[in-house]
Amino acid sequence: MKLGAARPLPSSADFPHLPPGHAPGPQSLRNRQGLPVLWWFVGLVGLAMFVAGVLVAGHIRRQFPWRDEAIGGTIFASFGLLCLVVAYMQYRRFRPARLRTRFGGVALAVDRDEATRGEAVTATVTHGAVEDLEVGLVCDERFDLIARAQTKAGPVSVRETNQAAAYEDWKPVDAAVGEQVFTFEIPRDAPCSYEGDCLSYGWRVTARQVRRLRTDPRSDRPIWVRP
Amino acid sequence: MKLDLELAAERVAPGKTVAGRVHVVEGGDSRELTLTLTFYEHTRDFAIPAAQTSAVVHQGTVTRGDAYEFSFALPDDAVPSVETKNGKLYWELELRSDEPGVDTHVRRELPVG
Repeated sequence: MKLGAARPLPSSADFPHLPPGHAPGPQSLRNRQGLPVLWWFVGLVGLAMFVAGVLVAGHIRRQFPWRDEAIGGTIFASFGLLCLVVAYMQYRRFRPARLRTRFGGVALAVDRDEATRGEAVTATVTHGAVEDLEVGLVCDERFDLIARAQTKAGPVSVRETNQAAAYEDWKPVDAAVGEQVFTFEIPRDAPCSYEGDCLSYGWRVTARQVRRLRTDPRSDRPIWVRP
Repeated sequence: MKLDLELAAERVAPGKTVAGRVHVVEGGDSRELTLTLTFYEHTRDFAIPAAQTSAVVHQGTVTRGDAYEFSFALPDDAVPSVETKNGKLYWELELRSDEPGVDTHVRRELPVG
């Protein structure tokens, strides 16, 4: 590539919080979403440990006394299950559960990719009788902090990026109506979209299914909010 | 030495001009007075200057009662100031007097938006 030549924008799959045509900032580039290979590996190892532990606990091999195999197998299976749960939770941090979009699932459409503060955004939700569905306008703030830990080698500081909602407005979707239109106004004093080094703000229109004690599957449409 | 920053407007919109005066409250031996406008990203553990522009407003010794005018043009796409639960984007004016020994600094936040 020639110096000064225009570079193609990175794939939107790597930066799902950005609408097309907007370049990621340093913080987004540092936290670029890749394939969570590590957590797939931990999950597979955990699954193998769990299955092996259950088989041993089930006294299939009959090499040791029944009680010893039951205790050992249960402990081994428990650690495998722990690995599976941790891997799933970490995987979900990378890839939030998605709403089903086909076969009676949910379709979400937004009338624009960009808006100015004070303007309204219209979202259209089409669904096949999905219960506990909500549509919302959300501004996520991603902020860097220093996480400190004490190790044998001494104190360790790690820069990590956290995320929280800086603004959110949710509206319930009527399960009986197939297609509904929602209008959200972007507050004039809310943050505008910003891609920074230690602090970023990103806006999205989201449909989510609220579930108790489980992650809410969701479908996002990122929008860029101008000042 | 003691310096004070006076702004023509308490809030400035993107694309407009930041104007004001530097007042010398107590004079002294200064080589240069430099005014810097900085845009900061701030979280609990970080304060990163994301954009910056500087200008020299005076060179030489300053005496009590002197006043020096300044103006900066804010870019059209200047990010408005905002503060949320975990972070803050803000603009700051910093006046620095380059002196023999410890320099004098005056800082003032500038609301933009």
